[in-house]
Amino acid sequence: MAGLIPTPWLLTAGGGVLLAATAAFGGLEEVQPPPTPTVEAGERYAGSDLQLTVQRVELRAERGNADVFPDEEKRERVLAVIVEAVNTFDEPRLAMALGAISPMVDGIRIDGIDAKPTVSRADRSGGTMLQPDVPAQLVLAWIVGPDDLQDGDEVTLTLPDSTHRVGTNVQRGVDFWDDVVVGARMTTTVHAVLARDDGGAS
Amino acid sequence: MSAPVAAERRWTAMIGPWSLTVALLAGAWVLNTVALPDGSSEASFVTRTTIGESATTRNLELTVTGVRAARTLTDPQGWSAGGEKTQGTWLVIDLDAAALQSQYAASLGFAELTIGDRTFGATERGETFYRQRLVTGVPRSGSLAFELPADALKGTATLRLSIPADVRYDGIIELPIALGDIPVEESIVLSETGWTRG
Repeated sequence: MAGLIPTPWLLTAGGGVLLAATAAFGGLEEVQPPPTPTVEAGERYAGSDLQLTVQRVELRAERGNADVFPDEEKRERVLAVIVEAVNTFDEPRLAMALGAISPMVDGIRIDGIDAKPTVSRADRSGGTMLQPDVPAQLVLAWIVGPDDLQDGDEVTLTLPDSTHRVGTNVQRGVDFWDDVVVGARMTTTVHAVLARDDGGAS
Repeated sequence: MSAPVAAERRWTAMIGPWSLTVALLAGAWVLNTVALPDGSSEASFVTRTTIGESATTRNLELTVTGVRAARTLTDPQGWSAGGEKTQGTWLVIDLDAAALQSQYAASLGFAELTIGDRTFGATERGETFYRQRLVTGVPRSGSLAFELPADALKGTATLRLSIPADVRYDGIIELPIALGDIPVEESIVLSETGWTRG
């Protein structure tokens, strides 16, 4: 009786079904990661337990409310990103983080500029501790060369996203934001604000 | 004849293991009940007080003299924040504070306000008493300001104050603040941090 059941054939058939099913779902081909979402200027983005609304990208001849010091003789300019940031975590958090890759507001980057921006309050008051659910007007600033960017240029910004974790052992109870990824991209136009009469203004 | 004797012997032989089991389970239960929660070894030493009552902890002596709330805050230097633009609320804590033993590294370095699940830090914007120096034995007066979302002034808040920024293993002064009773003014001008008068 047992000899009548074609076990090898059944096993082969089962394997065939498995292979066919795998092939039908794309085989061993790498799965495409979901595309990075895009946001518009003025649109609210949520990531890293923050709400970020990038309002404007300015190219300035003078630093204004930004916390960087361009060299006037080299005719350096300030690239400023005006952001409203809301900390949606239930404890205060600094808008800046240590390390090259930041999950916080200074994790906002512009394609083509590797450096971290300097973050300051738009009204130049105090530090950048973000209180829970309190909106803060911030200015992110980079120093750029005189010919790096022009009025009307398109720039692409990346906004950070990350995973919240709580430390253990000696780091017990310490909140940190880990696994920083690009959460969204944003393409917008640079507005030149050339207050100083340096011949650069049209 | 021998059967009842054997049964009795079996019964007496079971008393030992069973009582040991019960004793161990009871011991484990007591230990579990008595043990403090995780992280208690680094908890702060809390001194509780109320508004108007002086309190001391380690190197700090302080009295909260008043609590105010406003939509707009202006500091002695003329910096101003709030109003319609941010839709926010400022809670202002007036206090007198002095160091007790040493002026070294004595400043109001820790000020936290917990409302419900959310914890707010004293603002470092503008000129307030936050992180200002304290003097041994001579009280100084000033104000701390907390920037809050518009819906935050509800229920009871807990204010915690201390000298070091990291208060683990250290003393803190804690006091409750009934938020519902505080009238929200349109605007508050902070008084300059200075020597306590009167």
